[in-house]
Amino acid sequence: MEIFKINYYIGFLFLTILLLLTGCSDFLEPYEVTGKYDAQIVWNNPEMAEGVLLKAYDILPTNYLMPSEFGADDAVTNNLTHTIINVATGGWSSRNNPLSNYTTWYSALIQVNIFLENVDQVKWSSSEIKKNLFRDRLKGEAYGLRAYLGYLLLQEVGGKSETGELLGYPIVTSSTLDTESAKLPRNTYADCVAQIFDDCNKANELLPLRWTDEGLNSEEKETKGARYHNRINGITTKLIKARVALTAASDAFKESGITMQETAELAAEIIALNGFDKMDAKDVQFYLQARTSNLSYFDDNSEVFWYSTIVPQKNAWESDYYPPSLNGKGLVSPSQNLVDAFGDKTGNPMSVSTLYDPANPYQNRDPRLDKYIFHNNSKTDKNIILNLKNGDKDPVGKTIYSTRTGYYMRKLLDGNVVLPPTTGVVSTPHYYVYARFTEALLIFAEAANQVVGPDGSIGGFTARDIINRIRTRAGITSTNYVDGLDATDLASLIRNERRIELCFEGFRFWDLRRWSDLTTMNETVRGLDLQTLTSFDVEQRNYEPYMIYGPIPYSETLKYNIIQNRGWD
Amino acid sequence: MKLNFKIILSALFILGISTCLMAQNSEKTEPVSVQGIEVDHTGQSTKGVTKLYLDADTAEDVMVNLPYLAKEKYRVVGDVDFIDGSKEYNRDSRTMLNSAIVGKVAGSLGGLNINGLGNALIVIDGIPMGSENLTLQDVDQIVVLKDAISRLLYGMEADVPVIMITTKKGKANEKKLQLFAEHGVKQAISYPKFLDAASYMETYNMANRNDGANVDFYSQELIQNTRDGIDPVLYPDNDYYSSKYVKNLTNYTNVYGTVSGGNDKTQYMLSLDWTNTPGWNQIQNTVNNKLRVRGRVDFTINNWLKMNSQVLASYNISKGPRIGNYWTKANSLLPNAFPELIPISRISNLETLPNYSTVNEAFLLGGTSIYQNTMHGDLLRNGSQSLMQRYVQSLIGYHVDLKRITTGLSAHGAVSFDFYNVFQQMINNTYSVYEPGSVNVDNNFPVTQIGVDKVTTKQTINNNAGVVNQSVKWNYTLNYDRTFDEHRISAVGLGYGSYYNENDLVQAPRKLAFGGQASYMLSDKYIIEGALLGQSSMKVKPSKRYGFSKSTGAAWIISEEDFLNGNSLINYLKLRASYGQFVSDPFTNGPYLGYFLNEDIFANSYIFTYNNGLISNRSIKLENIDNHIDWERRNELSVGMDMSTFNNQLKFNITFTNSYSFDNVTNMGAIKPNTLGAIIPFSNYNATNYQTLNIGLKLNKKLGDFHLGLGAYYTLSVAKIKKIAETQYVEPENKHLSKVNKDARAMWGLIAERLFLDTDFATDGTLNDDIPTPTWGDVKPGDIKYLDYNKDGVINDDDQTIIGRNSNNNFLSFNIGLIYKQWELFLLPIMSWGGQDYKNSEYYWFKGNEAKYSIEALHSYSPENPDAYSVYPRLSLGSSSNNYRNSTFWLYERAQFGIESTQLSYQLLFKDNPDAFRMKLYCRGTNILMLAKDREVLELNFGSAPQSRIFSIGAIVTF
Repeated sequence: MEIFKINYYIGFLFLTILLLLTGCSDFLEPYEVTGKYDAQIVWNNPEMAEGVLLKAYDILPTNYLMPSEFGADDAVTNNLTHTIINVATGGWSSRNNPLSNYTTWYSALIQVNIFLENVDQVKWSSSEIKKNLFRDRLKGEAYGLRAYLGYLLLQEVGGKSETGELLGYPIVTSSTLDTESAKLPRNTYADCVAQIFDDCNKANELLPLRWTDEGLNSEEKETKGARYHNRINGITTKLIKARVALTAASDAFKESGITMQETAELAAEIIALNGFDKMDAKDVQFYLQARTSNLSYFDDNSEVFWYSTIVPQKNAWESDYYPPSLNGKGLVSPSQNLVDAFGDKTGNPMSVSTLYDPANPYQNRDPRLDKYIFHNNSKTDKNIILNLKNGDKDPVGKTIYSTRTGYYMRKLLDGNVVLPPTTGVVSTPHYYVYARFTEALLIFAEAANQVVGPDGSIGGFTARDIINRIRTRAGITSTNYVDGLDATDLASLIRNERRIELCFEGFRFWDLRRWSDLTTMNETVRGLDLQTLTSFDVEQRNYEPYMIYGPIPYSETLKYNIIQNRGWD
Repeated sequence: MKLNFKIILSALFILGISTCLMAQNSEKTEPVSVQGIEVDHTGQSTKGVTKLYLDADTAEDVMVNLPYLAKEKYRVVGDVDFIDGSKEYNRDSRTMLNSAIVGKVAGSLGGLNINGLGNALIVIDGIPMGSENLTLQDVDQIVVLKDAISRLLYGMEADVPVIMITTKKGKANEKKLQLFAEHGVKQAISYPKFLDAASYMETYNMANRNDGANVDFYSQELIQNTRDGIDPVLYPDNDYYSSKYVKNLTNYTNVYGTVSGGNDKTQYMLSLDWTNTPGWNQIQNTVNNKLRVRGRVDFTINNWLKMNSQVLASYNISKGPRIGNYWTKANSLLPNAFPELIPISRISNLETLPNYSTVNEAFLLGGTSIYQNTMHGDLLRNGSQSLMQRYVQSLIGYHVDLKRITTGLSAHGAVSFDFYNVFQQMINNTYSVYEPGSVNVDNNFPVTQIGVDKVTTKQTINNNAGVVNQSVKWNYTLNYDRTFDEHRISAVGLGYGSYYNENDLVQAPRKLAFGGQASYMLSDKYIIEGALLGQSSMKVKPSKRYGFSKSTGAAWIISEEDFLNGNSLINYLKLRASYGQFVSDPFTNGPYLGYFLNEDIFANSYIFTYNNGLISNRSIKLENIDNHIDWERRNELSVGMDMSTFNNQLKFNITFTNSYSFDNVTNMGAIKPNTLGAIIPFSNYNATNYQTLNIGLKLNKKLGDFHLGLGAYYTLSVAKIKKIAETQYVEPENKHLSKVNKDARAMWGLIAERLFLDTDFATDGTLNDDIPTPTWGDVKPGDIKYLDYNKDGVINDDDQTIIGRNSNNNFLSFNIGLIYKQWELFLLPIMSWGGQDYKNSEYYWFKGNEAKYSIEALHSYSPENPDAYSVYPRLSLGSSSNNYRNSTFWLYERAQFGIESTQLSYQLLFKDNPDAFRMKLYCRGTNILMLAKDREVLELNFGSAPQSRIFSIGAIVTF
């Protein structure tokens, strides 16, 4: 009978346990979630709250965006399946637009907006003073980022509707949206510019010009000192303003109401703040300044305003862009068109140069040519002479990684990087620059020359002087050519200078558009046959006049009645 | 890892305790007839010569297993099929579980897809789990539950049909030893056919010229030298599908042994299964070994309590070179890129090379700086990898007879633990390749070393590839079954739950359910049945945490009515209908990928670093806003009829099912504006209606010594979208794109008319004005000309229309069995039709200048072959985005007829004692024949091991 009892017990033990398990009411409560949080957790934790803003930074590019270069006249790519080739040769449509980052920028924008809505409730520090300092700086960064994202969106979709109205992007300043309320109409171009200016101004009030410890007390050092390098700062937001103003005042967008006078004033303010004393020949290779551990180059009054964190060991750009003989993929083939834009070393353009020898086309040229472009007989930093004429791998069509034009890109790359198969891989520090002084100089020159001519002064500076400073910095030995130009010729020289100084940094494609320069947009990209030293056509450019303005993504127009730019499907 | 040992230990502990108890309790108890969850349903003797097996053999008064209860077959009101595992295995001894289903039940649409609702839920011994660790040899009975009333009790996972499996167990006083052995030869049906190096280069030149080049990329001399094969090092021509690299034949071996028996009180069964499957590679093969052990003990503890305990352990080890996927590599390495092997005799600078290692002391590995991973290198020098999968499951079940409380009452339950893990062990070697330089006068050349030779003995465990999961599942029921005169009542009340965890899962899902089912039968003619199940979900919003599924069914056995009783023509006729409303939470999309939160969701994202790397902070991403999801729902109606006629020789059944799935959790990405960024709201939105007709016909006929059995099954499945989250289509040019009320399996694409010809273009290369403009970049002669479906003058995605169906929706199969004395022949022909697919793999689409050309490229349009109806458009080194898009040009038919399996068996008879020793020999052909319009496309596997024809021989020995 005892055994019976044990069995009885065992048999019903199961039933009891199972019934108990079912009875536990909190068995079904969501629990143990790691890495996923609700709003309450996030805003009660200052580190996580800041993380929400940092996600917006994280979404921004940290690599130069080459596709737009492949769509303009400075370069083509040897990656023949790249969708941009389709765009450049006539297939650009609102449905097929590899240049669109519409969703990405809005993803960053919602992070900024939800951060701004909650920043005041976060307890950033137990000290009231520091709490306010933290809050102000972070708010300033958020406004600055919102302005930057606004600029990116405006560049992508700003344009004219069927009725000729100049429109921008749908302005979003709130995170409390759902599928219906997010169906926002496009604001006018002027409204968007006003919004960006407003955000820049707010950011400017809250942010220091540069990240530095100089003149700060210990609390300020902790909350807005040198330790915030790589975050957006005051001087950058001023540049964003000038950049947006230049676009808005340019031919394609001139109905916006923004003038070149305003633009020149905004740029002059930056020049005045930055000064010329630290302008240096090194600025031509602003991308190589982290080679030593001394990072003083990035401190006050230097070329670089805002840049991504320095990655100490990186070779990704070199493995993409080095010529195949250096074991790169040679993805950028700079065009003969661009090479022709470089004058001779005395500052004369090729058309009037007396130093130019067609048999030795790369001799006595603007020193920037050697720095920015690998051509035949270029000597690398490791003293290798590239043979693009008869080499095994580098000449046109030798391998799938060979150039299509007879050139490879050298700018932005660090010649100290070594890729296999030789001895071993050498990686070096790399960073991406969002904003730099040279652009402010070029904005000023373009705007001032248009308003008051080469020698008219705005804010104490003249266009001709600024351009000469840039060219002298680059190593051009004489100012004679520039000094002899009238306003019209100087305007085209400024454009050419902009093309050279900012090449491969993502400007050219949009510059041609704001200038409404359809002729250059449709200029065939040429290469150089090194056997005969004659140029040959590499890739057509086929853009319709309406393509001066980019499209609203087609899928958006199917979701709600958002106005498309004229000409786009 | 700790937990798994705990689970195994506790399972063994419980097993041990139970065995002890059983041994203690040695006093003789009377065998009680407990009407348990499992019953012996065969009702047939298997002694002596095998009888012809048809599932029609299952007589109407035999007990069959249903969810959580058992009944006589005629009391079933639903659409249910029964398959006897042993008998099925006897006539068609393929071991995969789905080989007993595909083509063998009405409603089967291939694989485990039943009634077109998707992959059926597998339930093994009452516990839902995967079928991959069980073979047909383990199986006693398979029950396919297709309609609402019969599958409802399995809850939300049974939103699709259920395949319920009961495993074998030992029988009292029947000691049995069985051995199954099979060896098969696999023949590759089809390998991709790529161009040889010379033809590849010619084709590349042609594509280059098509793009406007006026110089050849590869010189004629190079091509001619390659074609002549004058020097395989300087003019390489690698064919990775030649017999040097892959086999045409490979094999496999399977041995399965099982021992079972027991006395009145204890029954046991132990099985051991081993399968060895080598791969297809000639140079260095990957070999797969699978070992399984399964044990089960049933014991009667006293006259009211029975228990059982099962353990299953399965190990699958796949070992081979560290190459990743041979097939994708073979499909991308160009034939002329580099010589795979360089004879050392021809290397002029051999003495200057440091520590080179040779292949067979005669060769160095060839390669270039672009191709540093070569085929020989990866196969021979890259190290090795072995993938190990381990699965352990244990189950304890109990049956309590509660007739002392009231007659017909009993309680049952089971709890199971399982554990699965995968990990990869690697030896990560690296190797150098050698690039040949220019040839000298002796026809020798120097080589340049690229890369580093590194050999290690250190094993690396790749945790990223590892999956560890474990689950605990339990159920308990209270059953009641009793007859009062002409009233038969059966009822079951039940509860079950489960807990599942996996590595990297942020939130472990848990489920609970409780409910019941009751059936009433009057006069053996009229049956009504109802079921209700309450279920919980962590995924839906808190206010809806519990949802209820309900169903009801009725049947009328007309043949029992007086006016048909005794009718010689109609032996049996049953009309049946059932209707059910299901709730479920199968969604794993977006915010439901493994975790469930409501309202706003933030998530950890990348670490953001500033102050030049000195400070970092984790960024936090807003993933979802305002997140409130309710249950998905399904309403399903089935009506059908079962009939038996001509002395039960012909049986016929037909069922029509209408299944409306709605409130599906839908990614609203298609309609949410991107001003919300990447945030995708989810909502209960989409709805689809599925309709299925399935018909079964079974004929069982004896003609002298011949015994013929024929089964025929036909299934038709139609699915229509009733509601879908899609963009607004209001313009006349895109109105037709709306998917509402269209086939849910529709393929949307363009209609290709022909290829462009020179005459379509003006002299400046632009298209003539009367031709609609394509919008995917410039077109040239030889590109595909599409129909301007919406007549708006341009060709774009709006010109898409329905051009096919993505799967076959008609399925017809025959089971043909023929017995003559000791011989048995089985044939399984299957026909399916109604579906199409695109030829859109890299075997057909050559994008860019790194594409490897297959023989398809030979038929392309070219200036020499300017045919508007060429079977292949103009080749290009670009992305050809006008041509490579879904259109009728690339469509092929999935319609096919095949003989899935054919088996001939011979039963050896030993006169003196046929039951003591029996032996059956068989040979089988699997997948031996396919007839189809597009057979070549259907038979080609691209990027994976080839399809194979299998010829096997085997023996089944029983002591």
